[in-house]
This record gives sequence, C-alpha cells and structure tokens, in this order.
Amino acid sequence: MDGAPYLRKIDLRVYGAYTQLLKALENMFKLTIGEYSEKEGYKGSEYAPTYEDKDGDWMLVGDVPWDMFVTSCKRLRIMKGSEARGLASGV
Amino acid sequence: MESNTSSFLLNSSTLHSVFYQDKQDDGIIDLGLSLGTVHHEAYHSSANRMVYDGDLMDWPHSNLNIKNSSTMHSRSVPENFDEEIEGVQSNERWAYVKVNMDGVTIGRKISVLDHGGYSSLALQLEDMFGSQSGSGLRLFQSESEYSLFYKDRQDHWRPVGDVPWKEFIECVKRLRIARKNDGIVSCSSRYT
Repeated sequence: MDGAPYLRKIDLRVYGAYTQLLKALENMFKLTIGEYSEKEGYKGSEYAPTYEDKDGDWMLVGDVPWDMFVTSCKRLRIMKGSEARGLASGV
Repeated sequence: MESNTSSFLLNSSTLHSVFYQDKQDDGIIDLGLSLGTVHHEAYHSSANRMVYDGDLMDWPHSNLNIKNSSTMHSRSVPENFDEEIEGVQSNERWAYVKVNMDGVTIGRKISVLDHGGYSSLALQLEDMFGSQSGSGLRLFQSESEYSLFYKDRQDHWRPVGDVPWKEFIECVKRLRIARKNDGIVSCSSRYT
C-alpha cells in the first residue's frame, strides 16, 4: 500500500472472488478502492489495486478470471495518485 | 495431446496429426484449422471468419514452424495455472495476453478470443488505454502517435495486422502500444 509504513500479508485462497479481496483490502487499509470497470479501471477511487505476477510484471487487478489471478499473483500493491492515472477514475 | 494444450490450440486432434507431417510436402502445411469446428468461433462474427484453408501457409510473414512441436507443447498451461507463461494464459474459452503501453507502469490483460478482428481489438485497447493520451490511441490510423506491436511465439516483435486475424490469435503472446517516434525504431531492430 503506497504510503503505508509496513507490508501486510494475506492469503488469497481465503477469498473466493475479487469483490471479497477488494473489500478485505479496503478494511485493512481504511480506504475505498471502488468498482472494477474494464474501461475506466477502478471507479470512484484514487486507488488502483495492482499485482506483480510470476514474470515480474505489474498488472491491474481484475482483468483475468479469479482463479487465474490467484495462481499468478505474487504480490499486491495498492497504487495511489498519479501512478494510478488511467487505472482509477477519481472520487 | 493434453487437453490443456488443446484449450488454446484449436481443433487439437487435427493439429496433433500435423505436427508429424513431413514438411517437404509441396511446401504447404495444412494446419488442419478447419475453422468450422473451432470451438471458439462463437466469439467471431461470420464476417471475420475468413476461411482461408490452404492459404494459411502461403502468407509470407508466417513464422509458423510446425516442426517446433516442442515449442507448441511447451506452451500448454497446466489447469491449475502453476506456471506463468508470458502472455498466454488460457483455458477453453479465453486466451489472455498482457498489454503494456509505453510510459505506463501497470499493464492490462485482455482475452484475444473476445474479438472477431483487429478493429474490435483496437476498440478495447482504446477503452483501456485511451485516457493515457490526450487525443486517444487511434491505433491503425496513420495520424496516430501510437503503433501496436505483438510478440509472436518465436519471440519476435511484429506490427499488429501483418497476418490474418485467425493466424494472429494463434501466435500472439503479448502486446505493446508504442509511441511512434521511439517504438518503431526499437521494435524493428529486433526483427530478424
């Protein structure tokens, strides 16, 4: 989480879908991530959830089916602000 | 052939028999992609179902080295998606490839099987990345600042649109939206 003092660890297998994961992240970091939209990224938020996959590439959370995501996600990062430009469409 | 390979390589049973076909046959190899039995054809409009059986291997830019059957097999994705193979994660109904745009840190993933042709693909990319540029991407338009490239199975970067759509979706591994000024130079230097 950009700006947070330390990392958190979660077990993705605990969640069954993106909505559950995003809700958990919102609770954990006390922020709003909003709703995923293929076109606009995360609507209603200045935050964009991203992940690092096994290739080391950073991708936007939500594009692929959940099961595919769980197996390829190595790390999560909640981006904020200008880096999230185009991925989060503001409050 | 494993069912998971067949998931992406359409019409797998026919394709399997082609792997061991002597390439010395009159230079033409029928991939057996008799498109009528392709199980993803529901995703394509009939207008784009260009049946070019027999023309497939005539395409000069095609690098479909069928003899590299090991390459084909190495592309299979285990059903539990344990391995990340660059670009193509697939199962029966989709084939996701990564899309990156110059200057944008975070990439996206799209399923090429969602589209029936290049224009549809361009529309989705416009939706996803258009806001990154003031005037939009306007891919495939000559006045556009951007060009679209793809990495094929031989890891060559090629301009999107150089081969028929059906061939493209078979060999695309990754996409890149490049700024015309620097993108073309860096990509063309990798062409062999």
